[in-house]
Amino acid sequence: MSGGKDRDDRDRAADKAREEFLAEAQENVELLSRDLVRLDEARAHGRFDPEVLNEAFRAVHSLKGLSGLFGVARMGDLSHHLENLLDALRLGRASLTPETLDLLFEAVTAFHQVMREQAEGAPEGKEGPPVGELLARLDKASVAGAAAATDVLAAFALDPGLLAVLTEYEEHRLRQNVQDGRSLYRVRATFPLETIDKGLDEVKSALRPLGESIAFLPSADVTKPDEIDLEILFGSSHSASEITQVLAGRRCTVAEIPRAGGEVARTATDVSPREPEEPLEASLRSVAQTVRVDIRKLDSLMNLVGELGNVRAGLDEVLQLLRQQRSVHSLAQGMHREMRALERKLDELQAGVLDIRMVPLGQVFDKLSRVVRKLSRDAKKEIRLDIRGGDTELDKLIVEELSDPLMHVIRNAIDHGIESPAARTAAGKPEMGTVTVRAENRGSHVVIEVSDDGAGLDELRLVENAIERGLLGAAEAEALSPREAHNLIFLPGVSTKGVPDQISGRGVGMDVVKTNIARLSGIIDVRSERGRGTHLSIQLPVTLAIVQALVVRAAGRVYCLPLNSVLESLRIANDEIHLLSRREVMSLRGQTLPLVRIERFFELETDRPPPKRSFVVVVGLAQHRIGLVVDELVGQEDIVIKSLGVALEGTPGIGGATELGGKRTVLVLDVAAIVEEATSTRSEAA
Amino acid sequence: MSEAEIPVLAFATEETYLHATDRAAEEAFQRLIVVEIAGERYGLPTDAVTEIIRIIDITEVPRMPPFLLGVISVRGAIIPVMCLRLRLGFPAAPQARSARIVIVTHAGQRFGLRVDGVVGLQRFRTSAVESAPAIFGASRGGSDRFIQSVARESESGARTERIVVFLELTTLLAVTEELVAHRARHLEQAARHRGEHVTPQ
Repeated sequence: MSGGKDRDDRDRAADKAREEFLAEAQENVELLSRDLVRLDEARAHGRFDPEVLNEAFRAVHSLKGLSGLFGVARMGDLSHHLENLLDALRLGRASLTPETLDLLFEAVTAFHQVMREQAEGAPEGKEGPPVGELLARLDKASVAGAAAATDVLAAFALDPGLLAVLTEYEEHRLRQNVQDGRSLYRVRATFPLETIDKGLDEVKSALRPLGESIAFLPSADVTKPDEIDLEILFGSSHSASEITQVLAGRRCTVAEIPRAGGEVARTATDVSPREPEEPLEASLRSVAQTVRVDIRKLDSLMNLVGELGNVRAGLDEVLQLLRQQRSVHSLAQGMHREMRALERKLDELQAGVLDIRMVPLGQVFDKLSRVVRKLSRDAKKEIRLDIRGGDTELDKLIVEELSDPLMHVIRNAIDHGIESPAARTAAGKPEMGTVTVRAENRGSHVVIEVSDDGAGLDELRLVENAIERGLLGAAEAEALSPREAHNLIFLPGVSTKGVPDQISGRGVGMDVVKTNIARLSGIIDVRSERGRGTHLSIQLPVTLAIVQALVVRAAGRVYCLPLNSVLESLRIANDEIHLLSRREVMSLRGQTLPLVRIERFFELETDRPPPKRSFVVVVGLAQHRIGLVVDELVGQEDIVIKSLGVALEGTPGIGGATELGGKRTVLVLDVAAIVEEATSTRSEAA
Repeated sequence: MSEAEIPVLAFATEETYLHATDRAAEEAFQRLIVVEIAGERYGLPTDAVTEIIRIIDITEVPRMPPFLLGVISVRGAIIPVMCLRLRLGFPAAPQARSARIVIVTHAGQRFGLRVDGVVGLQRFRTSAVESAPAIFGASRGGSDRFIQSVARESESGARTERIVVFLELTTLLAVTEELVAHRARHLEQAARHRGEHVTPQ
């Protein structure tokens, strides 16, 4: 019996280990991917930061170690070969061409593939797509294109002993600096032994903006036992005096290494120390102050917070009873004070738990850069991706779900939006098109805007297309505003494209994007101007864990409506409701708004006659708007939406249930489904 | 292999030997929570019953077949509730004062079962448990699929012998098919209401 238990424990431990392995591998792959994007961007501007390459190298090195530890051979092989290539790049044995970058990005994709298989529990050894071919290409790139090493160093009066102590990497960087036309300096710094680490860091960061610290060499002549002298071999295009200036106040001297036959500039100032050789082996102590947490644990914490809220509501009721008793008046006062404190702390707790779930959108945006790079190449268009607000934070779950829809939107912008370079020139636009992605926090919402400076949407084409597909009547089409016409793009099958080309031919329509965004309780809207570009705006709630809800009463029952889908609510008299082809509608600022009565929608039995005046809650999801007719607006509440359980989950129109104060269980309406159902039967009936 | 399948091997002592017969008799009992529905007695497996609560407000969930009453929330968890009366094919009746909700967990599903009353925990000699006679429940439109077996109440104190029907939770809680069928009917009706023709899927 205990054997079975041990086995269970072991299985659990193995699962946990695997999860941690995957999470850590994922982090490293993401880091690698981010570095590659940075390298690519820098390369486009003719720059190159060796530190970024080093970071990529270290990420792959960690991956190699990880896969060895967990026996994931395919990932191990991949890391190993990739590490070789990156090493060759660091050492200048291979050069960073666009082709090499493509290859590196391919490796990232391969990592993702292997991790996915691992996550799904595919047994190792059962090969997915072969990586062998990729490995061969990685190897080939590692040996190819070594920069011809004509000895540029001969131009400098370098101490021959110096070259002997440099590592291969340092020597490569030295050559690179010389090739780039920089001057070489020896920065001599003196540090007290006990503060050398701190001092050296300070000198390093002071020097960084001016150039590259190529090597750190302990000085040969020891002067005092409690001090240490270091020599920094520094490459820079700045003058010695400028360098001296940034080191002002330290015990440093700066000396330019003379070019052979040239003159020397010398300057002297104050101090700083030597750097401990940066170890390639990742330190056992993790650098970041973070822990990884399974999101399900956060969900259960969130539930607990919700339940605490209910307990608080219960206590509040007790308090109200106490207050009615004169004899315990002072007791009630005291309890009231404590309750207020509890309330505040509960709010803080809730905010804290929510905050843990937040991750920056930058995670998704990094992926976008990769896609743009590839797609623009495929489409033979020059495209610049301008990303702002990558630090805007959203619930982890939303960010995860967002990457596909965003990808499709960008794909569309590149394919349909941005014109060919020739067409752009003809239109008097710069050859390079721009796609802008901008994220911004607006209170409980985040708005992501994707704009392109392309051709804009062809509304006539859209209308034609919609009529052809029977999604729009000719008369209806007449009445459409340009903006409504643009929003036709979200109907299934509607497109501006006549012939599907390579990119759009993948069958992903904007209707899918709309559906995915709607599933996240988001609203998507499009604006476009012919010849100027298209502008998509996606509005998303910051989190789905705690939802602000509007509490309404209809047909004697209470319901919650997630506030993020509520656009406005208004009071109307019965005579403002009109019938249009047997359906109730009202006119809202000149627009016709279809109305849906909750009791009719759900066919609820009710004995009360409809009141003379009702409330209309205007809800919108994606581009649809309807008005829900209710009897009363009760108020606003923060709620935790819970599932109805396996059996009842998926009840159309019901998104879940929640507990309101006073132990009432209240259903939360699924606005997306209601809008969907109401609008689809509308078009059926038309 | 689950733990339950691994047999327990114990060394026999004189005592266990002497009491072996008693123990065999002891183990030959089945324990059930017996509830009352429309004057009849039904048994629910004890280990599936997690809690018995008084009737609280049940929040109606629209578009459900009548036997699914709605949801309640018990200590933060949302639990669907079914009316055992309607589920077993009895006509609806006003809720008795003795009515309770028996919360059961079975195969990962949690359900509240509304019953007319709870009789209590009873044991039944395994030898007295018989498979259900075919006629049982046949009159109530197929509700015999909910019946596992029957037994006679054997405890002292019962002057008249009563039959207790052991309920089968697997079928009792399998509501998905009925839900789907109900929704389809509902959609069809709604369409007919709008004067459209709908081809049944």
